[in-house]
Amino acid sequence: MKHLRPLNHKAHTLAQPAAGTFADPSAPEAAGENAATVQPMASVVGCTTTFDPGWEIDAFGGLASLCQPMEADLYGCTDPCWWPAQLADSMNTAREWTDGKNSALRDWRELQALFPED
Amino acid sequence: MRARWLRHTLMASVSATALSAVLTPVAEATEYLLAVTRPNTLHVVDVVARKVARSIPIPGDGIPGGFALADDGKVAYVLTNRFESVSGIDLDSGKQVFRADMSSGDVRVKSMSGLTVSRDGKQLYVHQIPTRLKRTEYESLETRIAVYNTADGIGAKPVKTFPAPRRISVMAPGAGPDRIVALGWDLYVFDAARGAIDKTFPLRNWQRKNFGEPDILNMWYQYEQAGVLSTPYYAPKTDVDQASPEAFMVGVMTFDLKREEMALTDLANAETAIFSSVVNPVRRSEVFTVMNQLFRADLDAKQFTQRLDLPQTYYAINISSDGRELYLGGALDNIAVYDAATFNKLADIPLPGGADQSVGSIRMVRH
Amino acid sequence: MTTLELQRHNYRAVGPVGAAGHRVLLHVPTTSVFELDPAADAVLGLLEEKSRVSREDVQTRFDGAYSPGEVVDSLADLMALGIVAGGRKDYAIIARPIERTPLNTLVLTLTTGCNLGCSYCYREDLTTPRAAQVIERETAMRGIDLLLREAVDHPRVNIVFFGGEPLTRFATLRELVAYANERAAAVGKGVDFSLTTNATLLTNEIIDFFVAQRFGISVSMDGDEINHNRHRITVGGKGTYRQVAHNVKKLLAAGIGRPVGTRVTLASGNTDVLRLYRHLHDELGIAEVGFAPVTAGKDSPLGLDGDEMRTVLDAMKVLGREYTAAAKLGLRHGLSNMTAMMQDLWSGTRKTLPCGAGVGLLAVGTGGGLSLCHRFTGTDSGYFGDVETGVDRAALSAFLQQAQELHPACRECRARSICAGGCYHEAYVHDGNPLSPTFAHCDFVREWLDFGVECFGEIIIANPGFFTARALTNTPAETSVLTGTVADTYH
Repeated sequence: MKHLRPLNHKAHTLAQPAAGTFADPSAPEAAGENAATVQPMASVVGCTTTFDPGWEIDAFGGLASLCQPMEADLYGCTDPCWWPAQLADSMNTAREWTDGKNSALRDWRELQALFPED
Repeated sequence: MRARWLRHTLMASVSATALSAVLTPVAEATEYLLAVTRPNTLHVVDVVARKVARSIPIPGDGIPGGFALADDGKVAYVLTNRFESVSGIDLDSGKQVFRADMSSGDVRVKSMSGLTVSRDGKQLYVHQIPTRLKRTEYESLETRIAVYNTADGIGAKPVKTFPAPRRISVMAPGAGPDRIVALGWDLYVFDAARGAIDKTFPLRNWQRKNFGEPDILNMWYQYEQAGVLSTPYYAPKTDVDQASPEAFMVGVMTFDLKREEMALTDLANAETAIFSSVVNPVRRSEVFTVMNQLFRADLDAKQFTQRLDLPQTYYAINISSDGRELYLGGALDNIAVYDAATFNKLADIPLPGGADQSVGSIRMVRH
Repeated sequence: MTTLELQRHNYRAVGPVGAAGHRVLLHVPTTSVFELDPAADAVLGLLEEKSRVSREDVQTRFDGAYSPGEVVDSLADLMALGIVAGGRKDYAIIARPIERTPLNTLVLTLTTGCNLGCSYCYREDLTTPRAAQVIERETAMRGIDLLLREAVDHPRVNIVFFGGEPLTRFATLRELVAYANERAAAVGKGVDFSLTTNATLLTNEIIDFFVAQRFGISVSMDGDEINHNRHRITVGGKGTYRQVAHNVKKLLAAGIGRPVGTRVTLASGNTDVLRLYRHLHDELGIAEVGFAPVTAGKDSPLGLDGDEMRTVLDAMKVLGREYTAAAKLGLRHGLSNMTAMMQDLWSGTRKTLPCGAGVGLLAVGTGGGLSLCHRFTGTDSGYFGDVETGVDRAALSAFLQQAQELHPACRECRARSICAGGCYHEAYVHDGNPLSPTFAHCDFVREWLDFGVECFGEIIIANPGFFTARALTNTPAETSVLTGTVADTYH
């Protein structure tokens, strides 16, 4: 929102979805530098510390720096919520997703797709 | 007379040998490698025999991640329960002797791999990320370091907390008592007694001419052999055409825990990804890094000196105390042993159950 | 080239407001409120003028006055809110099946009997105390049990005592309070009590009890002697002002920890809102005064006609402007109609149901039947089970599902997110159907809302701190009158 200044609480949440610490919207400047920083998702680590293009290619635009085999990366990425869009969050919202499937290499086929509830 | 003297001398020398065997510290204490696997197991690996000596279940829900030990190597404090608890496992008995469950009520507390134990084993420090789960929103609360007395055992609660910056994912004991080293956006040294940062070594906020902000990801506990915390970093060069292969450099940051000194060594144009690094305890200018390749870096010459393509990805790397063997772990379900000089593969130690290590560390412990 | 159409149903712009003189905009689908900067204001103005413009129209119009970037960005902001779009833009809210009743409030009708005979009382089943139907203790207790059972997610529940006149059954009330306290403690919940009363039967003993139990009290009182006695009379026709005023003073002096409020019913002949407010708030010292037009059928002589509604609305606006001036200084004002609206606008309350009836609130009739709310007990309508067999979920769910459907008449209305069709009971009395919108009030509601958005904008721009969460809690009687006697900063 560049030309519409949020006045009420709702407008603030609409206009600043990435706002960091839950600052008092009536005085956002009081929140200091935190208000401007996007906080890494608070309950999981620097998710993500780098914006890797995804799982399909590596940071250098090729395949060589993807984890080998691809499954090697599966739990290393799921567990600390590294790629939150591509993989389930086994730390918070999908804790049972990998139950009993402790080897990504051998068990990945057993992993089920997740669908939103409600 | 002479016979008696001879016998006496012989006996003396025999008993001297026997005595020396008892009294002299064994030249190499038995060294083990600790690893963790999903869903929730701690393994003690006999790297000499090339096999898992013991697999200890960690009570409760997994997934095990970083873990810390004091100098005596008796208890491994493992981050577990979806990173919301620390379980202290006595390596001799295999029993849980300490447990701190950090979440309570509507506040979920996680640690993203930030924990360490004082060298004397008395205090456990955990970097905590609390979030209040309200009905229609999450509220991020201030991150902090919590101090536990390990003697409080099961059900331990923090004896104090002090504010700490976000994104701390590796911690280590520093130069003296109450000195805690923490790697986050920058590297901080806390005075835990005062509950405040004593020194900050800039990383993200470094002001290096012609360099942009470095990119560092590190969650691996591999500093104990050399007493040096190290991590690779990637940094963009700002004085170079962005399309050129020199636009992005890789280097290694080393932090000497006893001296509390940091060094940055740029090594090469970034061509591949590197996950983590370990410093050779017998030659501290030598660093080994791992991911899809195994590299040796010479910090004095400021370059990589050897490279090996690996058959699979490893996240974590550690090294024997004589600097001769490298242990590769993390990600999948095995520990690989490589000769540090030749990079020949020496052994493959599968972890029981074929379970993945994910982001678990591998650490050496003397026992 | 694409044309852009103004979506008038998605916004309302009022003003100019405040020192900078910019317009304030209510985004209807979300109840968010924004201040327009000059560029956005001008762009919106062009669209309001021409209704349908092409992008070139926009760019050429502002050539020189605003940079193309400013114009494009302003348009982008308006488009993001669906105020401008290529075609009709609606934000459909799919009705959600409400399968559980997250109950937290129960109204207990203690009796159909009342010692007064106020001329406008809406209760269909009202009788004298002697002829009254009263709730049996057991029945009420089952109701309390039901509340505690259904309030799964709530750490605290509310019990409201109602009637007729609940104080004609004080002994029962007292027993039920004891029961509720015990049962709530047993399940680890807190319980708060409230009461609506005509205040004629308030004795010292009763007042002490209310203080001890921290009751929230709402007194039905219509103003000063002349006006109060117009409609609030005994069964025999005598005015009750003296008794009520006397008791209210005692009540206020007793210092209950929660603010005492009055609810004023504006009926034919009693529309001098300013005078009523001054008397109740300034002279008697009642902290919160709320006004409501009488609930009356189409042909009732008691109802307010168009001229009377106009008088009322104008006077409410005078008080509203006082409220605004006070708020800008951080002072509180007693007009609870304004407090409620400011709260809705601050939070951005967006409703698909007009109230909590059937969702957070249910009422128990004297026979144990469960009604949508206290107004429906004793009517032929709005029953959804009883305290023995429990909530009739299927029927209630079906009702609430229907209630969420946006009535065609509401689709273009700028008040739809806050009014959501209006009071079920009002509609029932007026049209015989609780689900029809309260058409009689529509113009009033819209005008009051426009006024409210402007006041809200003025307050928030001049004194952003007024609406912090703390400021909106009902801190007790730190009333301060704008006549300037005591200046309490809002706390």
